[in-house]
Parts: sequence; structure tokens; C-alpha cells
Amino acid sequence: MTEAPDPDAAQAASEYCYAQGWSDGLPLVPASQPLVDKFLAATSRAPDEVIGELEQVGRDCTVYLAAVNAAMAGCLPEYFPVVLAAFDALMRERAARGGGWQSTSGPAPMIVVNGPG
Amino acid sequence: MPNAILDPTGATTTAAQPAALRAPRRKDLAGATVGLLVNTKQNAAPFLDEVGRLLIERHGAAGTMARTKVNFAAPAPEDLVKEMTAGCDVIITGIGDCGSCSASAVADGIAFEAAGLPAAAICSDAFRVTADAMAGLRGAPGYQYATTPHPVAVLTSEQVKERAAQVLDDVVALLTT
Repeated sequence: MTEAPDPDAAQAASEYCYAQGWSDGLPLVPASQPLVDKFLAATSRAPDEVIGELEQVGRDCTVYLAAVNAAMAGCLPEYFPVVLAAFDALMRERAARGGGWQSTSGPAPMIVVNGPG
Repeated sequence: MPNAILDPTGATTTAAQPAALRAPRRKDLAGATVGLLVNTKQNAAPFLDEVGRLLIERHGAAGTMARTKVNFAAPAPEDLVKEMTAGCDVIITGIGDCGSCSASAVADGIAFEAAGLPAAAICSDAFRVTADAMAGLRGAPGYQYATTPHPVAVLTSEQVKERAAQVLDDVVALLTT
């Protein structure tokens, strides 16, 4: 029988992430290295490959960072290639790279994934 | 020991520089060439032109060098920063009257400071939050800029001149103290 995980630890981890400024307060999966390693194992792309750039803020997103964030969002490691494909698509979309990220009007890209059930 | 919880923010970013440089201030603006970085927002050009004219008329600036930033939502391209740094003594950038352009105007000001030129960004007062956020992101928390009441885009040409006159003292203070 699988031992049930500690719910208090899960809650504490979620609050910890919020306190770090890493979340908006909604529940999340705290990302550990073993979990992120599973994501990285699901792709042949190098962890330090830059897959997203926002020149306005001088920030880059790497495969590794995408893996950490995907893990936190509850993505399964085997779905990670779809996340990377979504990043590739976003970076080809001018509206996602431009000033829209902090525009007064607050637009955000939306991606719909349709796949085998 | 449980596993560490990983930081998802990408702490190693080009923006997270240790501390942004601040250019040495001028005693005054006498003889200075004033760079006007216009961001194409409505009324930005006449606003900055008038500020430049007043700096010549009232503060003895030698002249102005106006350049236009094509994409108001992004910081000025590096070659434009280089060109204006080479040709100017101080920089005025604006008008930030929206989220992305206020942030970018402040980012430009910080870039010119790092290049050695005192800079004054002008934003409308409605966008302090985004302007301050960008300053923090660029390693210059608390970066000072000038504000004018929001909105700017709808002003008549006479009102633009009044606004330019109103903000003038703040601009001079930013460039000289």
C-alpha cells in the first residue's frame, strides 16, 4: 500500500512558494530536482537552451526554467514536449513578445491543445 | 533532508544586474546638448520639443537632438542609445502614458545613466506602478523620474505646452542633482 503524503507539508510548501513571490497564492506543486529531472528526461533539448526571450525585461526562459514552471503548474513530465512546442509557437507570435505583457489593456496569449484522449 | 524547492523565476537574468549605475550630475544645463528620445505616443513629440525649447530659453542649453524610438513598448535599441550618448550631454525620454511605454521610458533612462548621461524620464502619474516595477527589475529600485498628470494624449497643443512648463523644474532637478 502506498503511504499517503503529508497534507500539511503540501500546504506548507504552497505557502512557502507564495512567500517567495513565486505564485499568486493558488495551490501548486513544489518543484524538486528529481521531479524536474523527469521533465528534462522527456525531451532531447538541452536544459540551458533558451526557448523564450523578453527583451523588454532582459529575461530569458530556458528549457530548465520551463520544466520547473511546468512542474509547479501540475503538468505531467510526459507532456513537457507539448509545453516546449507551445513556447516555440509563442515566440513566433509578435503579440506575445511585444509590450503586451505589461500593457494597460492586459492581453495574454491563450493556447488550446487538442490531442488524443 | 528533504529536497530543496526549486526557484522558478530564473534568477540569472540580464536584467538582474547588481546595481544600476547613475551618471554624474551636471552643475547646470548651460551649453548642454539635450537629447530628446521621443517614443511616438500621442503628444510625446510636441511635449519633449517644448521641454527642450524651455531648457534652451531658460537654462542656457545649447540645443536639442531629437530621435524617435519606433517601438514605444520596448526599450530603445542599443545603436540608438549609442548614437544619442555620443551626441548629447543629457537625455529626456517619454512620454510614458501607458503600461508598457512607461516601463520602457524608465528602462531607457536607466540605460542612459549606465552609459554616463544624466537622464530624465517623463511618465504620466497613472503609471507609477509599472515604471517603478521596471526600475526594480533593471537594478535601480527607487529610480527617480518626472511625472505629469494623466492623460497626455488628449491634450491640445496649448495644454501640452503648459504641461511641459509645469514639469520643467522636475526635469532640471533630475538632470542636475
